[in-house]
Amino acid sequence: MAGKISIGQYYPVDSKIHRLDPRSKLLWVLIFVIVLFNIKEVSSYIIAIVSLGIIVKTSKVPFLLILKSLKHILFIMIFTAGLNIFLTDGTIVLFEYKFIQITKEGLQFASLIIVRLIALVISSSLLTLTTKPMELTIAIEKLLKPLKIIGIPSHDIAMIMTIALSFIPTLIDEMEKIMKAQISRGSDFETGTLIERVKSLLPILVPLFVSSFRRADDLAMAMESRCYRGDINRSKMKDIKFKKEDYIFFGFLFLVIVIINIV
Amino acid sequence: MSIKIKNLHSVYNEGTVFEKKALENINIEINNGEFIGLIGHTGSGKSTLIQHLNSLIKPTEGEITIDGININENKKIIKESRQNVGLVFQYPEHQLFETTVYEDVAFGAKKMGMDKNEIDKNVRESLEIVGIGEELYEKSPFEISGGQKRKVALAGVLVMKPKILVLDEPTAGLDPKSRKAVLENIKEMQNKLKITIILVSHSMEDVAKYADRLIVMEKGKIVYFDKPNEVFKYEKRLEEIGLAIPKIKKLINRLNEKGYKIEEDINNIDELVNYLERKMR
Ligand SMILES: Nc1ncnc2c1ncn2[C@@H]1O[C@H](COP(=O)(O)OP(=O)(O)OP(=O)(O)O)[C@@H](O)[C@H]1O
Ligand SMILES: [Mg+2]
Repeated sequence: MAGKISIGQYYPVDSKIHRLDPRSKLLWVLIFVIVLFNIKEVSSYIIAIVSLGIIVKTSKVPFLLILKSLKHILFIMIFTAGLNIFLTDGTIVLFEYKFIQITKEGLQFASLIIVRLIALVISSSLLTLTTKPMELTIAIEKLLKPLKIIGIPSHDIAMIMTIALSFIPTLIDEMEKIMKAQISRGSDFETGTLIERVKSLLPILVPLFVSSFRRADDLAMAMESRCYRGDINRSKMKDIKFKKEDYIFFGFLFLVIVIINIV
Repeated sequence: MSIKIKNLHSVYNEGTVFEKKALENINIEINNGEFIGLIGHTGSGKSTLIQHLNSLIKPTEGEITIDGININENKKIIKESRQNVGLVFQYPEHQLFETTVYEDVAFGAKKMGMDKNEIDKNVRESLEIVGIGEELYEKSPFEISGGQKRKVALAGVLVMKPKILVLDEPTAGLDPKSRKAVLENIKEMQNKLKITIILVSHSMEDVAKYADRLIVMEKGKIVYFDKPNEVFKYEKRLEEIGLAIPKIKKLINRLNEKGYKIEEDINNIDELVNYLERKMR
């Protein structure tokens, strides 16, 4: 149903980043992550972050929405930062209490990790925020195509992903509906012992499974009756193409990497 | 039990880019024992409105009282009001989950904490009301027909002995004969149990005959709330909203435009013929 909100879901506006070939964006995330985990200088980090900032700005996705995706990894961030602050050995001790020791190196290292994590999450959620799931699966199919020679079924993988992705909103909708119906019948998911709570999931899971199987059956039937045979002689209604923007984009990336290496 | 809805506003996903106003300034008073038809085009907010009656959605603004008690007052009252208001969702057969028909119907009663004898009595009673015979009690709810499933699901709500029964398009996806049977069944049930009924539909033809009053909704607002015959006078406006009045009412409107003065409540073609014969004499 339209109007549902879920983090990292496609944000429908028109921008240069939205119009990029999804393969470019996918490759960018890969390259960006590799670069991010290989640089050490503070100046390099600043350049990488600035480049990310420029891309975020160009994408016209509200920054607040992107920040929201960070909420999910807040715990991991605090945890890793904590570990690094307390467990990194260093020479310059800032604070000491019994066996707890905070060093300058520890603080530095922890903040580097945090910056890496944040940049990682922002770049990957930007990918899904600016790319329709369908486009993304086409991109993956095309990128995996060369691997067909060694027997990796790129088309089937992409098809499975497409179907799975398109079923997620339906399933969430369905689950919500079933939950509401069972609540009306007196189900209570909030109180009770652990065993009671697990038991109370049964009235949701059973109908959900039943309807998933029904949907899967219907879909298989529909596909078969339209003679679906994998990618044999199959053409695409919406193909993805490398355009001028993509070359500009890669030019930009190349520039960023060069600058990082020079500085 | 009587329902009073005051200045109800409802917004989905408030404060996000996906914000959607679903209900605007709804004011309704429904008396004990009334049969209400809730009508509106797809997306007009019918399902949203009725989910408020069970606190499944909390009002963004406004208040809902049942017999003078605000149903969202606290957790205990929410729970009680869910027992008083039985909500039958669209396609309720999709909620069945137990191993047998009997067990599935009993679910709500168990959750309410009734004792064994009471549960048994209520389960049998509700299955009888919807017309499911004992031979089906021990069957799996997944191996009976679609129509039977829906009846079982309805019984699963009746078992809680609600004083207000709300049905969201109980006839969706049924053939004309079963449609009529379900509606007759509901009307009969109301006469027998003396409960308040709210029936959601987007077909006037379906509810006109049974409802005491109609609520007509458009884009989250109430357009009309009146007796069916009063509502049918606004044929033009209703058509703009995407709702067609029953054919017989249309015919009467045409006749009245031609100068006949038909005041009586006429519901089918036979009644009209009788009426005209009497008048022409
Ligand atoms: N969970 C939800 N999140 C966001 N918007 C919703 C949600 N549920 C409904 N809406 C929106 O609220 C409006 C009213 O929906 P509602 O389901 O109440 O309509 P309805 O009158 O029951 O329609 P139908 O006859 O199709 O069942 C619609 O515009 C719908 O898109
Ligand atoms: Mg609805």
